Amino acid sequence: MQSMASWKIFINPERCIGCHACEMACEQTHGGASNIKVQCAPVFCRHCEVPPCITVCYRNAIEMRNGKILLIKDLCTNCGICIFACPFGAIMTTTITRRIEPKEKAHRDVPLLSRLFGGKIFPKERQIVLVHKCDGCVERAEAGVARPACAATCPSGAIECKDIAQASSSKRIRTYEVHLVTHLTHREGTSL
Amino acid sequence: MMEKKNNKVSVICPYCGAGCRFELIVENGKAIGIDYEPDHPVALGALCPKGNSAVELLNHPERLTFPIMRERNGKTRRITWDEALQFVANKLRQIREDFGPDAVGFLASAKVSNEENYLFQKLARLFGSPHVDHCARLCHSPSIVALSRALGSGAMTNPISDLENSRCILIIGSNFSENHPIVSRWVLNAKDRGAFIIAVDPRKTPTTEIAHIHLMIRPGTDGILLNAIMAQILREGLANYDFIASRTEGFEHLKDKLRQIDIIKAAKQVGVPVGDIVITARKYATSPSSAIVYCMGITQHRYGTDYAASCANMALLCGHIGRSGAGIFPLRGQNNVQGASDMGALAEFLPGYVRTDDVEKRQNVAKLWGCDDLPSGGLSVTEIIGAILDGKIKALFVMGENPIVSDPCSAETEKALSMLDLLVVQDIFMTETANFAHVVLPAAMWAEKSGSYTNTERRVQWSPKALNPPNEAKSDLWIIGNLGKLLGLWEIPPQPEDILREINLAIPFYGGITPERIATSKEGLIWPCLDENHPGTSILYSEKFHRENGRATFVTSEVDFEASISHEPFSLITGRVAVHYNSGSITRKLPSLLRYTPNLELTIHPSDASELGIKDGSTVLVKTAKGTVETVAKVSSSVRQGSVFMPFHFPETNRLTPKDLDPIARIPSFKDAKCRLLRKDK
Repeated sequence: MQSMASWKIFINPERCIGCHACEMACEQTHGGASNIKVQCAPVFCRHCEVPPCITVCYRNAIEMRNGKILLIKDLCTNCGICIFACPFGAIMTTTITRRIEPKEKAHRDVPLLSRLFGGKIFPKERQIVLVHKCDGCVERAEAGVARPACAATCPSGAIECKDIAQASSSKRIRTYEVHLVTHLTHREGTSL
Repeated sequence: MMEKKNNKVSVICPYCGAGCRFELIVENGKAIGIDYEPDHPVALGALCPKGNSAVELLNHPERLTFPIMRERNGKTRRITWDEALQFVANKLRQIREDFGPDAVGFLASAKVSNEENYLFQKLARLFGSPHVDHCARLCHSPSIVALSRALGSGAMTNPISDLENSRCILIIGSNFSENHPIVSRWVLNAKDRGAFIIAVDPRKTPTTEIAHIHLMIRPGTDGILLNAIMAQILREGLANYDFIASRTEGFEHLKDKLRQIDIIKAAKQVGVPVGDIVITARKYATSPSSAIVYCMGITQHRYGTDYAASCANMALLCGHIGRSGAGIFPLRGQNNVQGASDMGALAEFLPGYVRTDDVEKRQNVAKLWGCDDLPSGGLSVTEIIGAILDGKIKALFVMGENPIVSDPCSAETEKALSMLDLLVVQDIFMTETANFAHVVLPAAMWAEKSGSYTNTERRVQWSPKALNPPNEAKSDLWIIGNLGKLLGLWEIPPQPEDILREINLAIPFYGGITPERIATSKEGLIWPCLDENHPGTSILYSEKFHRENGRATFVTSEVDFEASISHEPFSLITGRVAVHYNSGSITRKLPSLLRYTPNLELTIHPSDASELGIKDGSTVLVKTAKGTVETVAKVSSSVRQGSVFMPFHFPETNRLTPKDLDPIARIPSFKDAKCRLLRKDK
């Protein structure tokens, strides 16, 4: 079984069929909010070696552990500066609606207008934008499963989980085979 | 097993025919999650979005949990199982006495296990009714007929994973990237190894994006195209004459027919460049191993059987069959549609594809079941609806099907179902069809019962029981078994293992697929598996064909395909999308899937749209001879000019489709619909 640190997630955009299976799998593993967005290809954290998101976070809420970039929810203020820093657009947001409890009446989040009317008009609920990102399926790794859910579920092989040596050798084999077949068919004079 | 607090049970995916396996995590008798099985041969543990929604489906709040009886005034009330089964049995007996056994129709299901289908068709036939059929009629009945006539057996010839070894893949009328997503993995692997991929489809789909060349044909011209490709192969002398001479018969007749074809004229009719046809012919014929992947784009036509036969002809012409990477891949749509067909849940076949008009073999089956003879001459799904309208069929027993959405011309189906004296529906949700039922019986889902399932590559796999059905819902086997007992057909309701043992005796190619062997094996066994020690056969016809003389035959169609070209303004193409499943009775209830495709949309080409003044999002009326439907337009160049696309997961679509049947396989010509469009002004 591969250890957590050795693998990287590889995305083959030309293989993506846009089925959204990775989004569904991610949602199930992470309790409802997907850390993946399928545009033309799955977009999610690449776990950079020099991560800009860590650099910009003033709360130090993002940290690198075992080669994985993790967001610490307790420290995060949902300010969203990491969203601007990420070159891949891999940091996701989810808008949730939260009920305002009566004891929160005088809370600063209550709109100014309501306070002007002597506290008579209170919104019953407010919307909060939460920031979240891929955690490389830490929980699955702790449970002894090697591959993250998205790589395990991807039907077309667009998301792969390999270590770098394995990935580069398979890339070489792939190129070799394509060239070999093209060469053979050319020699037989059947190619157009 | 059930008492353990948290355990993983390996079950078969309930959706398409690929037969993926996954582990269901069960805690305190409730499904809480899934895990993947990277060592499973079909998909290496991959699951599409539908498979990932399994837990949501099992815990769905709208599940049927107790039997329901509809009173004369239309009100429903909860009844007990005893009451429900007794009522159904009495009513069935009474109808048999009054109108004869022919007056009862039975619809089996491609969603339930082999054992349940076997017992269901046995119940129908012992009851005396020949009318037992299921929805394989609506997808691959032409393949069964055409391929068994040409090759001897109507199933996929190679496993799905064997596509990886192909050097040329011809995809015709299949959108597997959306409907069987895991197939795309093997096709992409083949592409990475240098295979040439050709897609034939009237639409641009994720599947055609994989292909090197895409032949965007005019809808319904598949037959002409296949003939043109074969004519070109012959003309260039690329046919495999050794193979034709040693392993086939009937070639001369086909040759004479193909000689008359002018491919330039054909290319014009089909609407693709002549060069593409030539490239396809050369690539397919000259590659060391070529595969044909086809699906409902071939079968759901007026001449579906002839089109499917053309696919077989093409493989035989080039000898691309019976080897690794070379074969015919008709992809089946439901997790047990192959099994249900094998079990004889089809009007013209008894278990093991014994024709009901073959008196001698039929009586052998009858002997096994302990009676003298069995009825023959059954009606197909669509013909049953017609017979109800004619007043010939008075009662219908539906197991896990939703004919109102899946059958063509829904208005007629609805009218027919409301005319019945007795409609029993056995399902997991209150479907559109169940709304018409006199008695609705709550059934268990796949993970709530044990049984074997046969996937599209003929792999028979055992799916064990992972959890108990909710409330009073019962497994289909329990329901059929107890109903049979009340009808006096057998004394004890059988267990799945007992039935599989009977299947081993009744169907020769299931002979070695015993419960002991498959229950312990995750990979299952691939039929033909003739005896206890047989390892199963993954590639068919490597030595001989399953016909009497061991040779395949070219089935030459006498139909003039050109006559079927119509010049009505729009061809209506119906099809599927990635996140929905067949009649949508399951997937339209799951919010996590529904959000991706929430509504019915009509895809129309920008030029057509501007001509009619239709914009993206405007409401349009779609009119055919069968009905009118209001829908929202989506302007996109993914369809050809002159054709429009609608997914059939929504009840509206099949209000429009025609009821013409293929003369041989009796499949309705879903994909031949012609329509007119009107902008609806607000």
